[in-house]
Amino acid sequence: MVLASAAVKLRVRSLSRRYEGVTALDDVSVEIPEGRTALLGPNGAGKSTLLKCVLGLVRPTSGDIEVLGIDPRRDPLGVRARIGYMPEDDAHLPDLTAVELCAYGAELAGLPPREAIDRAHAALFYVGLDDKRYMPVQGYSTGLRQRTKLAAAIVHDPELLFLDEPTNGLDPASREEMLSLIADLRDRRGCSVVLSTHLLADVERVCDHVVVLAAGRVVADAPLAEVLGRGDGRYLVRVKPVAERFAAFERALRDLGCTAEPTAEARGEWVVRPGVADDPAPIWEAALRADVQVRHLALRKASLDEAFLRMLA
Amino acid sequence: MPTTPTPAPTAAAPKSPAGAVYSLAYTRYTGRRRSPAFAPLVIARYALMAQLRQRGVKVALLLGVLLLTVCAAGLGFSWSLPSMIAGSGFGRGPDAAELAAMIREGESDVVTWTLRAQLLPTFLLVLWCGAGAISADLMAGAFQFHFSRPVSPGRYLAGRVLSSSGWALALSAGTLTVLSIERLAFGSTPLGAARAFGLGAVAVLLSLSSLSAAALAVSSITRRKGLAQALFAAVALAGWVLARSLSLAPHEPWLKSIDLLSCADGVVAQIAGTSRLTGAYAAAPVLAWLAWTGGSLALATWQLSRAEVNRG
Repeated sequence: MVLASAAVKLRVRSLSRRYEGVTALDDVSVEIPEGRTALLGPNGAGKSTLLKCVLGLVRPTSGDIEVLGIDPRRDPLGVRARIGYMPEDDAHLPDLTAVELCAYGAELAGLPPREAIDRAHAALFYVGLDDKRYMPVQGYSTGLRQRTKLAAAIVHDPELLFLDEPTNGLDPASREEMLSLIADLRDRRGCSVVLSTHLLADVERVCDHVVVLAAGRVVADAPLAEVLGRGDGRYLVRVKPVAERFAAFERALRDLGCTAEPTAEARGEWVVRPGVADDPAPIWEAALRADVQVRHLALRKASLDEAFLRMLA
Repeated sequence: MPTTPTPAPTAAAPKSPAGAVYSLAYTRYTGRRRSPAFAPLVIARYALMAQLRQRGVKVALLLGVLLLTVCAAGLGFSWSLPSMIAGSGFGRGPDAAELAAMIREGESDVVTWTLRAQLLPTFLLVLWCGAGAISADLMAGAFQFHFSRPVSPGRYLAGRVLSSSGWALALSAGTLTVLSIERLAFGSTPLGAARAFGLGAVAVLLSLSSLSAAALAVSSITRRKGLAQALFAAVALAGWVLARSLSLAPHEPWLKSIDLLSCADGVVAQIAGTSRLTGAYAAAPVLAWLAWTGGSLALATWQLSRAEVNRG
């Protein structure tokens, strides 16, 4: 997908990263637009490696990267001053409280000490750490650590924020709060977000663009709506609920080369794959033969889970 | 006109996720940003603050203050002896030449005793603050924290050098200042006291730079803080014992000045002109100091440059 330059926050061209005997990234080219982008993939797909290459934490074997218009290999410090990174693993300093950790991060990003401490309090309050922000981070629960990491990633007001598995280990309520924060960061603070995760529900909840990696290669790079709308050539068919004609309808569908699976949601509803792709004519023909009244016929939209599995396949 | 009344709320309004929507404090930052060159100072400041919460650092600092008190009292007594003897009438007081020699010797004591009195506390402080510093960062994932911000490996290492020797430097500088002022009170000229202070400052800086560089080098090769500290202690103490033992051999006194703990003393003795080493052996302390400091920094830099932050 080619985007206008101004809208592109991150551009990667032919990026490869090889370890001994393992290719973590293989000729990856991707353009990440403004907004909230999901970096999806199964474990070991290369998501974290891609993020670390972009941050300059891992040196790519080959390829080009442009973050906010800057090449991180030429000006790594300039790039890092303008982006935020919330790593998947713990990333704190022993004996520092959350406030000190965030202020430390802000000062390292160039903020003067007074502004850094003010921003640290504001960012921690924003992520929901109230009184606990004065406790050492190593004593925190997983949820508090995740919030602290998010606060440390946004304290210096980045233009582009990379979140690596931000909802890992969170209970449902904390997860919902974390996703609300991620949505709010874009909607109200104007910060573009790249969310690396394998949790598809998180992606559907907050993202509007999807990049799918599998075995180090890009298998999809498209708006979420487009990925979901692609469907898989199957139709959702609902007929007038006259039970004694259902068997005849199923038989007619099979005779015409279709596969039909009744859905669990309602009686008289099937997911039908026609013998010829995207041609619903056999469904109409079967309905005519079985004398059933078709009340709904539409190409079925895939869930993200299905779309994801299909892309990986 | 509307005729339908507004329905009464049937349930409480949904609560916003904590801090997510109602927080107005977190806004865009439009203020000035400082150069990344400040990073070493920032790293050192926060590390020193965190170190002061550790019991080992507090104990070492207290020990240092105690030793400073004992040392200052002992030297004060020693420096006051000539005038006490002269005033007691039991013997002849020193003449002008003897007095000048005593004052010079006293000024040399300032340097010697600053290093000797604080050898144990500074060693413990560097052991505690430096030998585990990079290991602890590796374990806590702090490499990702630092290197995802505008911090280069060189600046990170500079910050760690400052932080690993910061408290030891404060203790040594305090000792040097107290002893220099005391020396001034016992007859040194301001110039003489300043010279002693300057030489002492060089000695402290040389000693601490080699110690902290070695501590960080050891720390950079393992993730285990305890192992790094044990290795550092072994390198320093075993080297010291070995060098002392070997230096007992005839014609090999230079061996005494090449271990980690003694090389800075040897360099200072060269600068002060009090070294007994002659010929090619005179260069041994300087070469040893350069090897310890430069080699350690090179090892730590190499380790940092090849440490890809790749834990995920």
